[in-house]
Amino acid sequence: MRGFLVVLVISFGSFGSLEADTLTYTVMANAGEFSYEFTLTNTGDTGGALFDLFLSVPTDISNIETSVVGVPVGWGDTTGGLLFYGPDTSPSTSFIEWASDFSGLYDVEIGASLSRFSFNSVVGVGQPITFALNGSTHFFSAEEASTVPEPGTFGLGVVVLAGLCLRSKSIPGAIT
Amino acid sequence: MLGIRLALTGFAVGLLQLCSLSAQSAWTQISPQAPIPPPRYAHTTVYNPTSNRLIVFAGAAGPGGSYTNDVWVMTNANGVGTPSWIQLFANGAPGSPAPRVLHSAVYDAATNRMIVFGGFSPGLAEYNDVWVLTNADGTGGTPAWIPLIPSGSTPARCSQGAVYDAASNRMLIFLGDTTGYQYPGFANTARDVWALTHANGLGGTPAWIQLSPTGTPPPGRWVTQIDSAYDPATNRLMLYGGSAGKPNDRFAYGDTWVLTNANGLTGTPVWQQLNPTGATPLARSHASGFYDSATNRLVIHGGTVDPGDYPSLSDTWILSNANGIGTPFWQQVLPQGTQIPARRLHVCVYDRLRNLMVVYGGQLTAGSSLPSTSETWVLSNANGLGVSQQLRIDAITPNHGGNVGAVTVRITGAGFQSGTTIKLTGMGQDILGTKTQFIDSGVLLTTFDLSGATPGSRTVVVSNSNNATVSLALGFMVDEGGAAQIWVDIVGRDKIRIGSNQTFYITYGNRGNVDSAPSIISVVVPTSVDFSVDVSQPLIGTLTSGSNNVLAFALGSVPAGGSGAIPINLNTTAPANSVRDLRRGSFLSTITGSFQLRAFLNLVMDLPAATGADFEANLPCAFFSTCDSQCASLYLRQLQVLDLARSQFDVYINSSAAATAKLAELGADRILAGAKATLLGYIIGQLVGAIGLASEGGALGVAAENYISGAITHLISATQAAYGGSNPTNVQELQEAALDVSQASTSTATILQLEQSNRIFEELADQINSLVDFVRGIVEDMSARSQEYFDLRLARQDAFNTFQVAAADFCRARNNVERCHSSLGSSATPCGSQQQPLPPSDSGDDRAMITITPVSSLDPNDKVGPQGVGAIGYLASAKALRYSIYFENEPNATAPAQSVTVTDKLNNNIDLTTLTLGPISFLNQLITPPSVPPSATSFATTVDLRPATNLLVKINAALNATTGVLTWTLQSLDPATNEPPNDPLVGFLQPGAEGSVFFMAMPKSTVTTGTILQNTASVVFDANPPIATPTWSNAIDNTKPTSHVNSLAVTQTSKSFPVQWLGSDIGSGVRDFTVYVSDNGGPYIAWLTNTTATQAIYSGINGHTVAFYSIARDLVGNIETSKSTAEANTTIKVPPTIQCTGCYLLISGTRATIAFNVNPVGANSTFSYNYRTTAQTVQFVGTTISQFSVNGNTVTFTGQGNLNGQTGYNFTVTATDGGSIGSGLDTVSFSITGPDSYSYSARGTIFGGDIVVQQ
Repeated sequence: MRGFLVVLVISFGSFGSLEADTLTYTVMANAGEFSYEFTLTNTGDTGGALFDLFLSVPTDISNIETSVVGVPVGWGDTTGGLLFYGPDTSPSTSFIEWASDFSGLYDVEIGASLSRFSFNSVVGVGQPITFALNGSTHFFSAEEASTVPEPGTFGLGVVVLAGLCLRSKSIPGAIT
Repeated sequence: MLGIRLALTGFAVGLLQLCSLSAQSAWTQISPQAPIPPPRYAHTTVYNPTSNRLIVFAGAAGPGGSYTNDVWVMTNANGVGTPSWIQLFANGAPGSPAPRVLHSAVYDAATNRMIVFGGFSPGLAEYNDVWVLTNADGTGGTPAWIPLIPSGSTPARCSQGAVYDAASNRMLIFLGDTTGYQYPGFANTARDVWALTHANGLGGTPAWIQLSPTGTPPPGRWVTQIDSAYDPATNRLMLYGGSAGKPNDRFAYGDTWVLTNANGLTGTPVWQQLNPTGATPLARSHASGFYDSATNRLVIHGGTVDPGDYPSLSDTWILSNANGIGTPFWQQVLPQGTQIPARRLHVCVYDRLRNLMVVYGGQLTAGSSLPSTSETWVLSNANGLGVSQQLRIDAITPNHGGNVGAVTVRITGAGFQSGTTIKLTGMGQDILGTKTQFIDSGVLLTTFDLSGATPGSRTVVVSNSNNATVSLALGFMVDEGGAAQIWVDIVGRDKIRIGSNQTFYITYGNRGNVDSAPSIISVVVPTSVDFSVDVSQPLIGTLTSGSNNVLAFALGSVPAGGSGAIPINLNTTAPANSVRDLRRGSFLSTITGSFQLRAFLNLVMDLPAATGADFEANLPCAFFSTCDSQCASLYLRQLQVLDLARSQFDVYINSSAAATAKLAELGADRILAGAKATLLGYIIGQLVGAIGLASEGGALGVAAENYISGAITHLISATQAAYGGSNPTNVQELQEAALDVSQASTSTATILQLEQSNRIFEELADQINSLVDFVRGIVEDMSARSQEYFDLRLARQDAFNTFQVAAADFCRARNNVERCHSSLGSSATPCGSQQQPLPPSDSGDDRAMITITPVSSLDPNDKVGPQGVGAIGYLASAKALRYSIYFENEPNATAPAQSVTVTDKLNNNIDLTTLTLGPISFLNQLITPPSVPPSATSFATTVDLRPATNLLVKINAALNATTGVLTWTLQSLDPATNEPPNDPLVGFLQPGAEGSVFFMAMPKSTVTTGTILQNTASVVFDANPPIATPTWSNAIDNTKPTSHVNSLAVTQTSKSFPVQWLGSDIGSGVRDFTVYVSDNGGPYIAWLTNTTATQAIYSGINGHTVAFYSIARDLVGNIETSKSTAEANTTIKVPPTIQCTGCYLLISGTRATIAFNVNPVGANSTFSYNYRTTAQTVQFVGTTISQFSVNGNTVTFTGQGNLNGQTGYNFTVTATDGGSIGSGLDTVSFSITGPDSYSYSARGTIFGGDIVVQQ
């Protein structure tokens, strides 16, 4: 499934706005909560490696499961980096900030993407989810990559894809 | 109360002593010194207890029974001292009343005057003369006869009843024979009542006044002569027995009657026939007796069953509660030693100072002859209550009560009277007893409201209406606090024979120290089991819920220490898969299909009494936390029952249709409408006629016509204003309009009267005056009807207002229940198969359960008691012991049982003075002894099985206080002979039929924990050998449990901390705990109530000192002695903390993010900082906190940490909590120093996040 999602993210990312480096996300149900997962792509707009992702989420911090905020390696885990969260400038807005380890080993270089920025919320957080990079106070909107199909729908999609794959294999044969 | 019957049930009240007569009576014949009067009968005798002299007048004297008019006095008439006869007037003495028999005489002790009325003359005529004998007992002066000449007259008569009311100086004459000693008892004979005023000849001219009692009067008769058959305290006269009928076809009466308001001065007299319980004496005539107003007992002696002469009787009977207040009942006096010969037409008088009955004269029975006698006999202990009738207090039960409510007590003693008052004195204001019930001269019930009374001992003071007073020093203790503790239990066999009725007893009581509020008992019976409840029981509703029927019984207030029982008959058929277990070979072959009988004592539901906050306090959510959900749903169903009652009440009282129907029923609207039409029509008709008359008078007629026209206009407009075209809109308008009509009529008449010189106007004036009178009558009638209508509306409004209050309480109750149910729904104990088993029946006051197994046969004779706790059956001595004894005539018996005797030698550890008899059942009969039996007596009654079975069943139950043997006897009697049936195949208990008896009693106060209480009963059928029942055994657990809260650390660094407690109990074991807490020196309040846990987390307030103690409760309900001091205390000292949850600053347009959560201890403290640009990286993570200081909202802390992954750096942070999120008032500054003189600092206002200082 992950591979499938990556395909979709890349596909949608290639058609998104490119005014800044991009942050796309998916949201799916998980154990009665809303699970948000983000992918940061350094398109070069910031002008260098990305080492700080500040996410402004339009919901109260109490709605976010802060104990299970997902971090990429070196972005606030035991490897290094820092993770912050809390109420933002108003109680109805929260922020989560990931900072990569000071060594730069885990920065996102231009042309690269990094996933596993994630959090769970007990409510849908609404839109827009905005983000700022590398300590900047300029915010951009994160873009939802796709609505994750329900398992049944996903299964159907897999079947369709499989059918297409088979068809694509059989068509050449037919031409010949 | 919205359909709820809150009466006390069963034999709930009091702890009652049943025993045989407290002291034995004995006959003594006295032999006065000569001269001896001629033997006589049909005479009169009165008695002066002060002079101890007996006055005999007239009668049929000597061997030939000649009618006399002599007067004799016997000194020392009660046999104390030497009796002597003195003749006051010889037979035929001048100035005496004419000789006579069957007359009446009453005595006014205050004036020493005897008043004689009527009688039968030698010439076979009846008298209606009245004579007064002054100085009647021969003292105070020369006796003299004075004929009274009353105004008015009463029919001449003989054998009438006569009593004297000294307070009003009235002699009351009632019934008797006005037919010339021929046909009393028929329609033309006297059933009247007359009062003679100034009856002693003093104070005014005597006058006969015929009273007009309501109620059905007693049949006419020759009245039994009873000394002083009048109760001055209640203004009631008593009538017992007598005879009636044609010559040679006469019959005796055994009925008892009371005439209320007897002297005619306090209201309309009303005849009431009494229905005494107890063994009924044979109906009789020509008996005599006395009434003791001090004890409210009527005693009859002798007489004859057959008024036609044979044979006479020598028996003596006592009717308690003879004035009809309380349940009257008969008991026979069984004197010791020499017995008085049978006699009739004698006279009994009563020496109430010495409790002696003196019998003089009469006719004896000697074969077929009836010789007269001059014998005098004295019966000691004549009222059955002992020789001494001096006012005294023996005991008060209970002798203590809590100052948080009312306590109903039973006072035993002697000499009590109706109207006796009771109070507690000694500390503060006297506490008067209210709702006082006079049971008999030895028992009173009264209620003390102890709310707010100062704890301590009180003196009990009892005062009679005659100002006699007695006190019991330190007889009652007011407790500090307390509560009602009502309990419920089931007593019954755990087996039931298929197809047979079997009685189970839902028992209840109050072992607290104040009376309980009304409660509800829910009894759950499977729908597969038939049940029946006697109509006398307070069943308020039955609901079917799933596979169960739920029977709801409303209990009234259960007095402190009181108890009661509700009998329920069950009957079950064999399950479809039943298989008789023949292998066991015994008669206890079990069949599958056991079921449960359950009882729940539900919450207080006294809606009118408990309103608002009080009511809500009775519906705590804790109810659901201590009760499984099934119990909760049962309670909900109770509310539904009550809600249904409320709805019905609502429909009746609030519906306009119902109100209209009620008005129509009373005829108010119809009367109003009819009166309106009549009034209007009559007024117009009369005036039109007057106009016609006036027109005959020429010019005067014209003038008259003008006046009349004006009057018509006024009358009609006023009338129509009142009634025209529509119904009156309200009563006030109606009345005002009617008044206008009246005034208009009067005005017209006045005008016309000015012209009375003219004949026409005279006639007109007459007619108008007539009209005015008529109108006034109509108006008055209308006003009365209007007022009736108005009153009805007011009454309806009052009822509705009352109902609305109750309805609001219902709604609040329901909402509260639903709220609790909803809020606790997720944590409630699951129902159904996962439901926790109910505890043993005695382990909880609020519920009981018994598992009953249907069997094909079972031990026909059985004794069952409380199940108790554990295998040994522990019971608390504060609860009444309760036993049921079952007996059965075996199905294969060859004859019905005529007699059943059940005996039970009560355990020596049972307090016999607390014995209370419960229901007695057999066949379809349920006999319940009086709820408050009188003192010093046994229970006796006769059940008439006719017409189903031509038998009477005489029931006697008595305790031998000496041997401790309690005996019930059920004896079949032939109604024709009042003797056991001669036919051996006739008896009240057919083969296969069964019955039971029930009783309750308290263990002695001296019993100790571990005391075993065993009891075995014995059942005897007719002349068969006794059959012993199985032995029922329980053990006493009197020991209160102990518990304590474990000590706590001096301080707690968290607001939430664990508290532990432990308990122990000798006997049944600890059931649960209530843990109390005092916050910062405040009062102790229950933190956890009735919890089975032994630890819990307490959450307090920082800086507060809290103290704890625990109170344990054991499985039989004993509660640990109350405490007032702490067993554990601690102070909550939570260290201050400062948190910055994800704060950030802006430094040169770049965010610097900081977060910390720090406390003085440093443990678990965190600090991190991130500022990173492409040119600079500052990632700092604190590892230790070394210093911490607080100054107001500003905190400074220092420590060590890692900078960019390198160790060895120090930091200092100063943070100020200036406001909430986004306020811009939170600030932070910090610096980092380290190796190589590294130094970094930052400061600024917090943009995101929030700094919070908690102290």
